[in-house]
Parts: sequence; C-alpha cells; structure tokens
Amino acid sequence: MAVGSLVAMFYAVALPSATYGALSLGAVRFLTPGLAVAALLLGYGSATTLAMNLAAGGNGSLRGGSGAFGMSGLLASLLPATLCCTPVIPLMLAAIGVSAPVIFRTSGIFQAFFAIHAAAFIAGSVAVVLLSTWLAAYNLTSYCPLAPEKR
Amino acid sequence: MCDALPRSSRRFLAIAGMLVVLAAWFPGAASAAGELSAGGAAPAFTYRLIDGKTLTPAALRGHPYVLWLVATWCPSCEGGTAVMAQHIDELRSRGVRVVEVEVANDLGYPGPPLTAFQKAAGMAAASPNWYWGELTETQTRLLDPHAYPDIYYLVDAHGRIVAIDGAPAATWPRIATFVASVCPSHCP
Repeated sequence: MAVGSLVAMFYAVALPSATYGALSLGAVRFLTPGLAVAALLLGYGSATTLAMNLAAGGNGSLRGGSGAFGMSGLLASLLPATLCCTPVIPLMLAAIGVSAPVIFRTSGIFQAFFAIHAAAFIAGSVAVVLLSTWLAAYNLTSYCPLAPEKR
Repeated sequence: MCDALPRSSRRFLAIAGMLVVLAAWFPGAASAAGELSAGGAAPAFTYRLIDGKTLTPAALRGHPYVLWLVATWCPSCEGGTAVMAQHIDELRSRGVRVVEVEVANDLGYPGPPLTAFQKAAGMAAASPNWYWGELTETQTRLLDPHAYPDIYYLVDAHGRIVAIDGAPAATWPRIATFVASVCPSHCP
C-alpha cells in the first residue's frame, strides 16, 4: 500500500510534468482527473503486481517449471512503471545528470513525438500494468505444488 | 604494421567520443556565432499576427516584452499559456507586453492552430498587451536555431535581450523578476 502510494505520487508529478515544463512538484497543478486516475492505476497496479509476484516467489510458484514465467512476471511488474509516456525521455536525461529546465529545452525533437502520442502512451502503460496484474494474479492462484522428484 | 589499440585506449576513445557527441548536443555548448544571446539586441522583426494585423518594431519600441516562441503541439506551451493568462493583467499594469508566436510550420510536426491556445486562454487572450502571431521561416531560423518548441526572450524597453528561457509555467519566477526589474514601482 505504501509502495503503491509512493509510486502513484511519483506519477501524479511525472504525468503532468510535460505540461508544466519541468519534473518538479509544481507540475501537480496540471494534474487532470484523467491523469490522476492513470497515476493511481499505474502506482497501485505496479505495487500490487510486484507484491503478488513476490508472494508467488515465496510460496514456490516461481520455482520449478514456472520459474521462468515467474521471474519474467516479476520483471514485467517492474517494466510498465518505467515505460510510461512523456516523462520517459526527460527521465532518461535526468538519469545522466541534466537538470530539468535544460531537459525541456533540449528534448524538443523527442517532445513532439511523445507529446502527440502522449494519450496513447499513457493508455498503453495502464493497459500493460493491468495485464501484468492479471498475469501475476493468475500466476499466484494457479500455484500447484509438485511432489519432490524421487531419486 | 598497424597494431590494434590497447583495450584501455579504445575505452578512452569511446568515452571521449561520447563526451564530444554530448557536448555538441548540449545547448550551452552549441551556441554558434551570430546566435541571439542575453545582452544582445533583439531582432527588429515585424511580426504577422493571426488577426491579420502586423506588429512592427516601432510598436514594441520603448516597451519591455516577452517574445515567446511556441509549437502548438507542445504541452508546456499549453501549460505556459494558462499561466500567462493568469498573469496577463499584472503584466499589463506593469507595461509589459507578451508576443506569443507560433514557430514556422510547428517545427515540422502537425499541431492545432494557435487559435486553440487563444480559446483556451479565455477572456485573457483578448488583453491588449497580448499579441498572437506566426513566425516566418526566416524569423524561426534566427530566433529558434535549435528548434526548441518552447522558448522565450525577455526584452527590455531598450530592445536588449535580458534573458532567454523556456516553459513559462515552470520558470515563472524568472519572468516575475524581469517584470519587477523593468518596472520596479509605478509604471504606465
């Protein structure tokens, strides 16, 4: 719950940051109802998926034959949170130490593509998170302990 | 005859190459000769306004103004316009004009017409100190050589560029400081 809240808060700032022009708390003023819903779904969806995949790992679902699927599910729960929409390029640039105001002046070429398709990126990210959640839930509930192999 | 470079040298060259590419790409390092900069004179352009009129250098002479270049697909331009609308009366009372101009051809990406921004700004868009126009290709090349979708020039009453920045919503304190400096007390 706490992780979900933190991630949702991050997205509440990150999603409207393109409209604000910088990745900072001031961006919250441009948070629309649609972006708020997306931030909640991305935040709590990612956290729920992560928790379910960790639980699946704990009860053995990630072992044996389902191991590869389980680990990929764990990765899949983390990936959507990093794939979402317009802040991707600015966040990548931020990662190499460029300050936010410079980012938003520098990434004009990238901004056009992401700005024009922002809604699709957000919708796609939410869809991927929901799919990850469903896969994680399926993975957790379809756990079927196998008898130890006889040697 | 031609020995391969040692691995450490190749790594050094690779890192140096990446740094050179980054340096060339970084806006601060990319300023070319003849490019507009703070302290220099703003170009005396005649701007074509979207209501069919023109804004001449003579009309701007003696007035501090914000020359703001926008691409209409740019989200920070949309956000900045909303913030500008909130402050336009204050700027008017201080004698500061705002010239919001769409860059030529929206930098090559399709966007809505500038009138959509005007509409979003509501009644404030009709403020007499807020001019809405379009840049020609030549004006765009000189004012926005790096094709930034959201960049503004703060120009004082003498036609001198005081500062260059972007994203007014995020950098409003800078504009506020400019307004306060060009008009510290009572203004026309």
